[in-house]
Amino acid sequence: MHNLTIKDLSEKIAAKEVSCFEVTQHFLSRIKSLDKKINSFITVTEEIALNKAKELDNNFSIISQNPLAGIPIAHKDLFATKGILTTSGSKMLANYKAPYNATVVKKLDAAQMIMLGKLNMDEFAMGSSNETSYFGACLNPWNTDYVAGGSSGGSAAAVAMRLVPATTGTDTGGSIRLPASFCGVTGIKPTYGRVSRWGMTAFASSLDQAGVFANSAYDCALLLEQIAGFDSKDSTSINTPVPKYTNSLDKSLDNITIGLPKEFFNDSLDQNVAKVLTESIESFKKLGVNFKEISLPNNHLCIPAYYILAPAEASSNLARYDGIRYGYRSKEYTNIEELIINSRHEGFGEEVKRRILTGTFVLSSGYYDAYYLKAKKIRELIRYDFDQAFNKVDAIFAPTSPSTAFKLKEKYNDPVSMYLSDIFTIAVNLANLPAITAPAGFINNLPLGLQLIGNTFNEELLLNLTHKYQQETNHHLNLPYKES
Amino acid sequence: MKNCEISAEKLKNLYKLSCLKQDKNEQNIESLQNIVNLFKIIKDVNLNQQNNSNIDITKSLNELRSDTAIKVEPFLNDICSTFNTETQRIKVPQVVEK
Repeated sequence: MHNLTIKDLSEKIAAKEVSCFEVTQHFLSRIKSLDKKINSFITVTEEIALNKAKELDNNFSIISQNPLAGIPIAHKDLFATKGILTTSGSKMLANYKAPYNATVVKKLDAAQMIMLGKLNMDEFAMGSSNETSYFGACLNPWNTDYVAGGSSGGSAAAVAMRLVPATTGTDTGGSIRLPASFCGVTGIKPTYGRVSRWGMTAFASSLDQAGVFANSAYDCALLLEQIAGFDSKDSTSINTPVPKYTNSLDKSLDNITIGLPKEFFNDSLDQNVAKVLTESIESFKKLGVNFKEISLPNNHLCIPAYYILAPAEASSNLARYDGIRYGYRSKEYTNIEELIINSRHEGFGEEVKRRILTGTFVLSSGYYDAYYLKAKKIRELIRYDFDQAFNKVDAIFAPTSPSTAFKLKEKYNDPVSMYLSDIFTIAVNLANLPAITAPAGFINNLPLGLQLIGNTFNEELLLNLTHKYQQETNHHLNLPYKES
Repeated sequence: MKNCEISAEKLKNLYKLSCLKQDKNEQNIESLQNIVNLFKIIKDVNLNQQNNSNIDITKSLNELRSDTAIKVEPFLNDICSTFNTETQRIKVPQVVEK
């Protein structure tokens, strides 16, 4: 049952071949027996899930109206879930129960999906390996000596291990695409403004965007058409129609041209990565896609610009955690100043504190113009590069990461080396574009993902391209375990 | 390196993060210095040299639509009921599980 796609599982539920209760029980028992190996869940909501499953079985008419009804889902632990722990992977919020549901949670709940729990993540989504989580690192299902990627590591690993068929995640600088590549699953980061950020713990508000993980582009399309759309509660949500993505997955790719940025495909790209991606390019060519060289001349400025802008926004967003209104409160204090300082010092992890410091640094008097303002202007240059590229091509093909998953602790004590893991993903966030990562092959038994970048609000083409690719290849069908 | 260390201490005070002895170890300071070095690439970019006459690099990213959020009147009754006249304090509703 756990190897079925959402579409197949949904058909079985609708045909009464299996009940929602049986489906829920099956995935819960997998979580119980297998999650101890990878640590992908922070909270499992067994009772809530089983009650909802029973309720659905008793109201069967609801199921026939919703293709996602009865399908289990789990949320990255920064989506607010009413009455359920929403930790954001931090000691600061380890006991925090949200008083409301995030819009994404609400929409998936309205589609009658069954929430199985909340997933591990880097603390406040700051990290590329899931090692900064207060609840311990989430491990890679393909080899537990390796990281799952971050920050949505739990979301990718849980789908790869078939503990749940669908998960939500967020992507501020590659946090959906990097773990999707490392764990061998499909993950889509929509255009900024396409999905509501309401109820998501804020990291860098001009870059954060919610997305989904699943085992195929088809399943991602089903989920995205449910969560996308305007939300008046999010001031950056865009009021533009959401296409029925599943209707255009089989469109012909005959007149499609994909760009290959010369800054990505050169001698500095790892030879094994280049080999896997070249094979993917050949598969796309067989589908009728044309390829053309393009240039993104300011791409080398992405990492420094991002690591100025994102921490600057984070330092402001995280100012609210003072130990007074909510969150962790230190026991050691004699006055209010000490209460705030000690609560923040004890409640935040090292990487979060590092980003608050660097963010405050670039915003401080004397550095604001030289760093923050300059980075904002460079962001416009990066965006312009993409605009120019999309005048010539329909989509852009890129690596997701410079390598497959790296070993635990390999980069943990070297932040700059960790930041460089995001070198192929960050530009997309700075330009507010959509992008998808899908399994493309293996290097030394670890998966590697390809990345397709689309023009603003063209998630439809990305899903179409990936779906057609997955019809021709079977990388997305590989399992990180042997069935007994 | 020294400048960075001084700035870090100032910033920690500014952002309410205590700067304990163990935080000032060599590795942490080196990490911060490496990050600041990464930023220097940005500092050295000459935007006037860029061939970008078509780009408005000053265009703000904060081009938000007008705020359509519905204004809600403060819950005066709720607030009044939590005000303790003896202690002159407001009891704040608890959202954190003990």
